[in-house]
Amino acid sequence: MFYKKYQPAPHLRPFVECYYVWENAQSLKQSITVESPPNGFGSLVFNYGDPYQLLTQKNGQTAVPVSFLSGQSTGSYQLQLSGQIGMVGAVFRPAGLNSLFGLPMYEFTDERIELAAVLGDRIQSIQQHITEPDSPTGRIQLLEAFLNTQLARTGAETDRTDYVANLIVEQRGIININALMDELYVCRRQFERKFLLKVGVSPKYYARIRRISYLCAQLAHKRWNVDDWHDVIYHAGYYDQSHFIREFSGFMGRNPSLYVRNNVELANFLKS
Amino acid sequence: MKTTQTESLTDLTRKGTSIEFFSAYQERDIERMMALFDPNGEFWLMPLGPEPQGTIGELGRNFWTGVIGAFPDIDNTVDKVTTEDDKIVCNVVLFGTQTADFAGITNKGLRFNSDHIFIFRFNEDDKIVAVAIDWDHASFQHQLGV
Repeated sequence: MFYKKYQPAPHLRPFVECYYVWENAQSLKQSITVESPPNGFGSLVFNYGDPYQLLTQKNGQTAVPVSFLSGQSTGSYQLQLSGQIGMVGAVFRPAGLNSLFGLPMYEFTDERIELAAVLGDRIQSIQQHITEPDSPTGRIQLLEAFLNTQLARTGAETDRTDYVANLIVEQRGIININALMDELYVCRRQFERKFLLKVGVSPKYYARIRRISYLCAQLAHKRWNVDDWHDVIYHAGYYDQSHFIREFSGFMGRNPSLYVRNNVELANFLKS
Repeated sequence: MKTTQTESLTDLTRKGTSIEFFSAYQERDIERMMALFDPNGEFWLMPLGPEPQGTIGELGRNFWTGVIGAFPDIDNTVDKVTTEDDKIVCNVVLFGTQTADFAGITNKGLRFNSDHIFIFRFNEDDKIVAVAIDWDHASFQHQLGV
């Protein structure tokens, strides 16, 4: 299985975290399930492989649109894939989708919305041509050209909300939002409204997502070999074990030890 | 039959309406709040009973008028707005300072801060036809000195 991340061009980095391509050389004989914790980033994805399904605790199994825009995920989700995997996506910085496309991101929280419904005719060309390049980098170039056009069209710029959201990411969600608002001299109500519009959830809730997301990424990096849970909990910024278990179970749908034992995250399918 | 695309866009519109409700609540603008509802829709305070207690137009209006009267600085933070079947579920933090007796709770000038879940159900015209509100009532009362 091939999964690779790519850096965006410098002028798009304020908006785009990375691109990725996910493919398999040989068609899957049996379907596989791949799960993902919430990661704190929205994305824009084109599928040129076989159709696949999304499974969430709340909404059960649903078909994933061929190309879609997704906002913040507030819980873990599973993808059920079979046959040929082929997708290319842009992963956006927390407020990047709003800054670049002007979309009210609270509408996209826990949603995968068909791109044509959101962006109209603008995506037709890329949708038609995404299968043509014979290399992952060719597809990334197409995607980046589309984002370049959007940037040129809108003259998008980042603002204070982008700064705060990026700061929450940098601080791994371990941040005092009230103190931050005082420091920035912002009106709480206006700041929260803007944050909800641009990121899709409240600042405090976003910090919680980032905390669990960072922790899961760290665990996956270590292939879920946890020597000392107390150390993990302390470094992830949780008050104590019960706080950690409550948060983890709330976002992931099962308790940490069960998750460590039987998760089916993408890292399980990739060579280390 | 609706297409998936239409359903998705309907969800987006309904999320926008839900946000509008909390914005009007922040402004303590009862008329703006009520304009989003079918007045004959069901109003259900979940900790206080197993079924809806009245209509939005009567009980809902009286309840929110009472809340705003007793907690004149009532405010909220919307944590997230998500879709569940034909419902929009809003996780919201409500907070305010009590300045008058409210629903049997004697005013002690105390402040509350409480996670609430608002569940809105919509009709075909995207009007809210049912609202259910859940919260930890014991904690709410405790914060207000009961």
